[in-house]
Amino acid sequence: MEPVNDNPRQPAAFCRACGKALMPDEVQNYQGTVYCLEHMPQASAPQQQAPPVSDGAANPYYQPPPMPPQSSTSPGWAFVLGLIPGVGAIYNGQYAKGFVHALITGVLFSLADHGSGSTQTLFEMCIPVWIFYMAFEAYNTAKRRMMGEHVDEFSSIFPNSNLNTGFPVLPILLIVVGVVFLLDNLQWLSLRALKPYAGPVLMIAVGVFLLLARLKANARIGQEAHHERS
Amino acid sequence: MRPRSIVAPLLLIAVGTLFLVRNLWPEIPMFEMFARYWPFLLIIWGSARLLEVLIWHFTGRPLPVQGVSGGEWIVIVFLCVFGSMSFWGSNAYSRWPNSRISVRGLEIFGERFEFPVNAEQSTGKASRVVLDLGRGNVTIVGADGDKIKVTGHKTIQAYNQTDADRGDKEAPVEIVPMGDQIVIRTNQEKIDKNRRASADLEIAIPRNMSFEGRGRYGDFDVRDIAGNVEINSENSGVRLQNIGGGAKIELRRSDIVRAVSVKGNVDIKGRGQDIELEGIAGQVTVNGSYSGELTFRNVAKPLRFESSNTEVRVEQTTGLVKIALGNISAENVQGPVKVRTKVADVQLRDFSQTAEVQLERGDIEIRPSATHGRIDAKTDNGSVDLVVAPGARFDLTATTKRGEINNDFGAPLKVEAEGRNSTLRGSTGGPAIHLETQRGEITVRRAGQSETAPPRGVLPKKLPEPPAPPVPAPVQQ
Amino acid sequence: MNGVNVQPVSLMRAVRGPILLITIGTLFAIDHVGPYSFSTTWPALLIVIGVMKLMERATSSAS
Repeated sequence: MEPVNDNPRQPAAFCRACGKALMPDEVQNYQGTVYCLEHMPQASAPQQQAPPVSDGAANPYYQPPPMPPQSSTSPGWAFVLGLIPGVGAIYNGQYAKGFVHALITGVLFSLADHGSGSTQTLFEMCIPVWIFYMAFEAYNTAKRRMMGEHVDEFSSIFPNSNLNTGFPVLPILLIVVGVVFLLDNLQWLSLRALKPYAGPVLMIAVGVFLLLARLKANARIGQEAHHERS
Repeated sequence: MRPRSIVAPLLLIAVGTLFLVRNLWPEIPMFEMFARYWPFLLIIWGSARLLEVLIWHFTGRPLPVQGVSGGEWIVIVFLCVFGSMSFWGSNAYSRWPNSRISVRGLEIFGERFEFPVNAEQSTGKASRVVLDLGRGNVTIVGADGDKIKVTGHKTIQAYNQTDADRGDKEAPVEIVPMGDQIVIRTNQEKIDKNRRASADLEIAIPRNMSFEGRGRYGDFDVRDIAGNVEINSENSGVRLQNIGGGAKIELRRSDIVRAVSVKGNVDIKGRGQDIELEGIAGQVTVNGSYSGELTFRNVAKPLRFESSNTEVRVEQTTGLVKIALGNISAENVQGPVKVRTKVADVQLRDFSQTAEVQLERGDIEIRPSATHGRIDAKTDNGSVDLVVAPGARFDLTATTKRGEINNDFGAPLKVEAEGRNSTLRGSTGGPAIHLETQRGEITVRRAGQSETAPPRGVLPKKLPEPPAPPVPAPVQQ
Repeated sequence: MNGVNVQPVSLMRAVRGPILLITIGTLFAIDHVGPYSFSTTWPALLIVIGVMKLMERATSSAS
């Protein structure tokens, strides 16, 4: 992930009305709310352009002006469209994600159709879960966009902050799952036969992960203690 | 200012070139090639983008946030959907023979356990045997006597012997009389899906019975039966030999259907690759889409082939009718002959009676026998060649809207040109021959005349010198 | 990495799309002309995505 201050043209804020990314010099403030030049409400209100931050701080009961209705995104629609593979994400303007969603759905269906034995039932169970995941994700994303937050192309329900520091769980999980399924598909190894080992191995993996996390945290505490002492 | 990608214009050029090729060399089956090779467009596209990004990076220009933009992804999705559809629509399943090979030696978990199968039953009054096979290969042979004998073995995939034994008990091979038919069941559906079962059987049935087979995956081999044969399977190769009745074959996928000496009608439906029929005394009807080669030899009664965009009819085949992707030929057949398709080269040789050929794109070559009737040959884009016997009688009208007419026959044929249109007319008193192309040349020759025009695309004798290998440029640092 | 290399992070990001595209193209090509169908080879996509994520991480932590 890109560090926030790496790019000098990083937008400073986003317009409440249209969601457009704004450079520091384009930001318009109106009663404590950021707008772009286009959607800046006419300053015909009796009170003159008060300094926004102090206004908000001075009057905690002051209600910010009602948010202008988002013309393009509604979470309800996003949820409904999200039930159709890929469409929810496209509705949210995340085209690549829509493609990936559609692709995953297709793969799931073909697996449930072609797979044999337990893999088949596994994928059959995965399909409804996945479809509802897509719907909820589209709902969530639409909600965040409505709130004026900027969403990344590959945003997800799970927060991916401080992804940089921790152990790379997701990539390794992807690779492991990919390798296992590839070997299974090529019939070089059978998932059915691995099933009895799956539970214990999973437990061990989670245990190792937690152990590493604790050790790291302990080491940090130790270091801080050391710093304080010196 | 970020640099803008040059991939989109390049793609446009590529698409333009494709259409140009399509118009210049219509005999190249562009659609089929697209259906098969479209994924390489994705690879080229991705490689071009990658190269571009790397070049920008190493020349120190700013990079785009995304290597492939949202709009491009949409185009890619459409390409994938359209490509897959055209692939499955045009010539699907050609890879089936390959994917049947399973990597047996490398199966680490799960073994194959084999169980012998031995069953016998007298047929009584039944006149028909029905086999419900599921997976496996089966050979049906007509034999003397009135008993059905099933031999062979059953394979069950399991992790241990007890599992396999249980599977064996759950899926017995049974022979059950049911009214006037006898049903042979392998009961494979009764085992749970984790233990895949299959049966390789050899079944001897009384010669005069009919046979009906239903299967999911595996080959049917039927020999020496006097009754009818009916086969219905999801994925099978079918071989029939010496069948006294008719044959009705319906397959969702197949690599080959071969039938040799069948007395009754042969009716084939579905999808597959190759079809080979020889010595059929009844009518032949083939309906569906086939990606390989279809050959028909010695069909005594009418032959009819129909797919989504091709129709071939021949009254009687003493020679050979061959239908392949992009090429249809018939030799030594009795008419009326009818060929209608979109893209293919068509050759008709030694046919009697009338002939009708209608193409959208492709070359036509016609050599009628002396007893031919009316001939109508029409292509929108391609050449038409007519070769007639020196003393043949006919009444010719040949028109090209755009192209040359070569009259190697000579008098009494005469060319009338009118702008881009040319028409060749003439009569020696006989049935009408009507040739027409929108675009392409028309040639009329006498048989035996030396074929003067060299075939197209012949390479010159001496190849040009290959360019010298480039001198590596001095490395700059 | 040499001196020209200013932004390794955004290079990995920019390269992500093209590599994914090439992988998808290759898998479909194998599906159409090779011995394995797409339903067999799809996990390769997961592996490629995983490896790219790992590399992104490696370059970003190196800078």
